[in-house]
Amino acid sequence: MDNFIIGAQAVLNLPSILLIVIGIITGIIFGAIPGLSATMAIALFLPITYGLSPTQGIVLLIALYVGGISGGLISAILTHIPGTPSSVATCFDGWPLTQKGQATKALGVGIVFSFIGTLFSTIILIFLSPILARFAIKFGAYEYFALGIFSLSMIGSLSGKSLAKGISSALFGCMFATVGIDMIGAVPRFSFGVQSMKMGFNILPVMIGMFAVAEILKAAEESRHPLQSETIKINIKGIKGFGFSWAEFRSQWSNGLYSSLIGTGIGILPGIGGGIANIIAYSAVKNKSKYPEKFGSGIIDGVVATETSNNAAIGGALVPLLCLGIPGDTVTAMLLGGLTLHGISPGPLMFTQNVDIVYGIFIALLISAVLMLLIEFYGLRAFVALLKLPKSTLLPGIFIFCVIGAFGVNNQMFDVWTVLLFGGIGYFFNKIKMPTAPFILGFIIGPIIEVNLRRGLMFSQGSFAPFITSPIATVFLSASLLSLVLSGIKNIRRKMDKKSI
Amino acid sequence: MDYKIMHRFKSIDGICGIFCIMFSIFYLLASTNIHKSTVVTLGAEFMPRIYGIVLFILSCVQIINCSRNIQVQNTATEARLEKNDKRNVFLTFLLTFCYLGIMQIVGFIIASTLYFVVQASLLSSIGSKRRYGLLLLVGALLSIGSYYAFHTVFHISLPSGLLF
Amino acid sequence: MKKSIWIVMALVLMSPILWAAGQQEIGNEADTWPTKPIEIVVPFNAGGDTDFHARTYAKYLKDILGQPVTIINVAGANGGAGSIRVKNAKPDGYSALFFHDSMLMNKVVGVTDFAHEALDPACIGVHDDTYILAVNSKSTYMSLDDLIQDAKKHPGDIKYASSIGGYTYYVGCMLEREANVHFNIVDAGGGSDRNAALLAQKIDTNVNPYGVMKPFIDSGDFRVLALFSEKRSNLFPTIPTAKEQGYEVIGSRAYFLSFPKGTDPKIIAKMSSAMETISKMPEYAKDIELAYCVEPGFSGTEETLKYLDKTMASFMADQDFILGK
Repeated sequence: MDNFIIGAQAVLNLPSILLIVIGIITGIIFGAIPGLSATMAIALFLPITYGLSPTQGIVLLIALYVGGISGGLISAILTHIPGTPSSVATCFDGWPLTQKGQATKALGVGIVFSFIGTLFSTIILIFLSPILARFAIKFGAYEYFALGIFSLSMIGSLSGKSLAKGISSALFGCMFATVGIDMIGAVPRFSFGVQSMKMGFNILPVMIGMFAVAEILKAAEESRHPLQSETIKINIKGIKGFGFSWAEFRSQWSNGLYSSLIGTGIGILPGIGGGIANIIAYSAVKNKSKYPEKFGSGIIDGVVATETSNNAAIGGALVPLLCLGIPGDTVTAMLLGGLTLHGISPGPLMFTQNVDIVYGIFIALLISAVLMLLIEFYGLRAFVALLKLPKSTLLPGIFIFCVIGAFGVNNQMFDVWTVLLFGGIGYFFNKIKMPTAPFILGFIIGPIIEVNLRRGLMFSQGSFAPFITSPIATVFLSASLLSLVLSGIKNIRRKMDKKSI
Repeated sequence: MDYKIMHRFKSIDGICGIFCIMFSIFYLLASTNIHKSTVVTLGAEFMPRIYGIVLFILSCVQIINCSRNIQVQNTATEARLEKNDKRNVFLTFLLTFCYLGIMQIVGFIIASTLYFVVQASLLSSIGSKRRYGLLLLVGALLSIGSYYAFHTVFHISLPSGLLF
Repeated sequence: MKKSIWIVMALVLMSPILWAAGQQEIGNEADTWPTKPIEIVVPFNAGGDTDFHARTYAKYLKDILGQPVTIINVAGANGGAGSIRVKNAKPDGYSALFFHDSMLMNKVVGVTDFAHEALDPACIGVHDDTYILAVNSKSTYMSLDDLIQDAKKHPGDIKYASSIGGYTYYVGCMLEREANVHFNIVDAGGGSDRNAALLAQKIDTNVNPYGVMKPFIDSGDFRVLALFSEKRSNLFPTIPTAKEQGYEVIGSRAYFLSFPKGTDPKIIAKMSSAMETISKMPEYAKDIELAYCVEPGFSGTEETLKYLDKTMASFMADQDFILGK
């Protein structure tokens, strides 16, 4: 308890609170605008924290992180373009809800469950982090390989009608991820002698292209319909609170808990990265559901799954960062940098040597969660009002920000051209009815599988045996086999049913 | 009419399969250029080979399935998609291409403003009135505002072009 | 139809602007340099060691040069992307590259087709000669010799972690050659990933700069066997060098600043003297000691060129070795 008081002393002062408020608002804005992600917000603010005290600096970054991850739901739900890679799966059910005129409800659910996810993972972080961190390092190459395979086996529930197309799409994702310098042998692959291609494709421009540009092209295709109304009608009057009922909230309780666990778990494992927590949680909740066929048609279960898990990944990702100084993804790597800049190196002694920082972070997370809930609650009606803007002006505006976001990834035009390339690919995928979500999953998971397979074989000097004898790996591999067999059976059964009709 | 839709549905899967086969062959051919290192047990070319071969087999299956599958359902959604505007899509794509191309020369602000106006008019539906003046104003404000915000606060050096 | 006319019109209107863009004047202003903010490209993401050293210099440069120095992170291709950007930049003294020995290694392994010779190096800002070899404290190795003897008994069994083509890989190769042993060189990711792997005893040894492993050394999880340097460090004097223990392996990483080829020598001289002043400031020494356990170490333009040429020559001599041929 004493530690909390030290932490509170470090954070509960006017400048720090003000920084949290600024961080949350900026984070939400960066998250909500497609192209500007939470990662970018943190990258841009990192140099600014240089001039602040260590606690103030890290508190600002934490607030940006929480706000940015949550903010992504706004554009995912309202425009069908995910605001950050963490909200890709929010589009699946969030956008159909908007089309049905229930945007307020979708947003309300997303906001509340973002809050729950953050809160859940923060509590885990506070009480269990040393134990979990020691467990997380048990994951070596074999285990990450198995976990990657398991994540890919989720394709089944993301594929829609054809499993073959889903797998093909994931393979395309894996293939495009191989472009650039090979992470193990440092040899260039598929660069075709072009220097810029050696850098490979960054997830942010790829995602912007696949979703934002594809959406603009779709709008261009439909704009000639004279009868099509440009804006979506939404009735805000008569909606109270967060726009959903207590009964609806209670019905989502188990989904929320389940997704919190998945999100926190994925966040804790440094090799996987929080960006895909939303996709995996969505598939898992869908598989678990009694009515999987309704997913994608606009039910709140989908929004609950994605928005709880992506925020839960935040607390998870901080576990290995604070206990072991191991960043799980680019965001936590920058948080680590933010601490190192001030001469603080997270590690086993962090919890005893830097109590003020560690507990300051805990308290900042809790305050950020509450502030995020409040700010988004009061902003809810303003967000929905965005839908009143005609698509024809909203989309070009969004694209300009996408250009800035893509450019900002590495300060160069190559990433902006990437957006256009993947926009074309995304549009083509839509045309040939190839689902895009498995592509993103493959793009992120493919490298994890490849690197860990090859690392594992280096460790075992060429033997495949440890991939099967490691208990953790065995569990994941058999689970993925089971999941693949099950979705194969489902697929066949569905075809049989259709034939009998 | 029914026959036509059926045919179309079949051909989408067919196109998809053929595209996948072509891509996998191209990818496999390109993977032969990867430098092979002897230090590592599995070289950099290993996984690309696997990806390419699996995609190749999968697309063969798709094509075979497609030629066998004569029964076709779900006609309503397909019919709706027929009414699209390929020309507008092409123009949008071309416009985006030009936008990125000229940005390096004329700078972010001018390019974005022009892009905004042209793209907005491309996207607005046929019957609606276009207010170019207003669009130009909004576009200019948006690009100038974001340019300065990102340039001065965050040091993102967006192409500045002619104005500076 | 109207829309396409609109596009054509827009393009036509832009054409004079396109033409004018080609005509830009380059003024000679070496004497008054700098008159506007200077951009230093760090070819890695924000938050790493290279970024840290660049930013620490930038913080103090602002006061000495009288102009802000902004850090631009251009990551990709193990630093290749940022190098190319500076190589192609205008040699006006307003863009520079802050990189280290990996720039040379990139050429050796074929990531880029050029190294420092394609740019005008100004000076080495800091020399990181704190490469250490650590093992998990649960292991039986108490000295470098224990490790080498065990490696001799079990050739190819001891897992030496490094990224292929990275600097630690080269250090491992040098140690193998010097001690006449054979390790199982495995890839276990970057600095912090390797810390996790060593903590879980998935690897047997880990070579990295001291600062990267410091939290685990302080907590007693890791035991340091050797420092790959000419002499012991003043910051952690208890750790013996490999040389003392009879294995002459020296590793270091020099972080240097370079300008695009053709930059005025006056500008280069001005910049390196500014950096020299900073390297002698006590608050600068404190900054880098706290963050990375490194002592200040500056080299002027001539020395830097000599160092880079020498390093490049030794990398090139071992090229087959590094590429594993």
